[in-house]
Amino acid sequence: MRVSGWVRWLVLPALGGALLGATVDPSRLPPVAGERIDAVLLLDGQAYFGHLEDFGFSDTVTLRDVYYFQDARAATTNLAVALVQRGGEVHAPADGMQIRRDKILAIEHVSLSSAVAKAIAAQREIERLVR
Amino acid sequence: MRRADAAPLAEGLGWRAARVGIAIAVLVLAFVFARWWDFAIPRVGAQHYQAVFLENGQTWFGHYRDRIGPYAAMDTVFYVQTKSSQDPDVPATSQLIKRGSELHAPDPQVLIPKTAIRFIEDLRDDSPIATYMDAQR
Repeated sequence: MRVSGWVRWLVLPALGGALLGATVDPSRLPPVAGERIDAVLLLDGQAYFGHLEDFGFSDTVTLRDVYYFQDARAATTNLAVALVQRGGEVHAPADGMQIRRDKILAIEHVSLSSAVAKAIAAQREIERLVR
Repeated sequence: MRRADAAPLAEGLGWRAARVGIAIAVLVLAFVFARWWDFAIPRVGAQHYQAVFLENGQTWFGHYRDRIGPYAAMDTVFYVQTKSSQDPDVPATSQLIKRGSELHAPDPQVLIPKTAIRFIEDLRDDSPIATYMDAQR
């Protein structure tokens, strides 16, 4: 099939640029912004923090390197909640949590100066020292 | 190669390079336009602020933008926080909180899956909530 010249040189690049614009956020690219942490808030009230992969073509989004709040009143820290990395549960889930989009309430970008981002950084540092 | 053959060849290469340049320029322009547009659907006659009623029972107030795709967006979100007292005789108090001061200090823009939205209403300009949000901006 022969594609006419203006389709090949104008329409296809325009569609490609629009598709890239829809799926690629330049501010998310590591050389520009460093790490990007998203908060995925669910309808049931649970919140997960991590690296979001969402291409819009699927019914699910993928969250990697996931952290979440856990009730810590039974622990000895005097804190009501603790930030826990997902993966240490009994079923030992692998990295890459697939969340159904219809169970999501909202998606927000986490500020790197926030308490959550600092807690994640501190926990990573502890894990690095332990290894 | 003879000089007579080389001239059309150079002309052909120049034309091809020009077309590649145009294609790259179109791709970049389309990319920039898509990022700027954010696939927002213009709402003619809509008020500046909307109330978005969510599936979990919460209501968020702010500037709502309908978008092509699975997500809508809201900018500068406020929500009502109700504090109840331990004393049963003291009535619960409600206050309007600007989203952003939570533990994860979220950016002003929030993406909301359209499946999580029950309905949306415009706020009148003289609405107390709209007036408060204007004052807080």
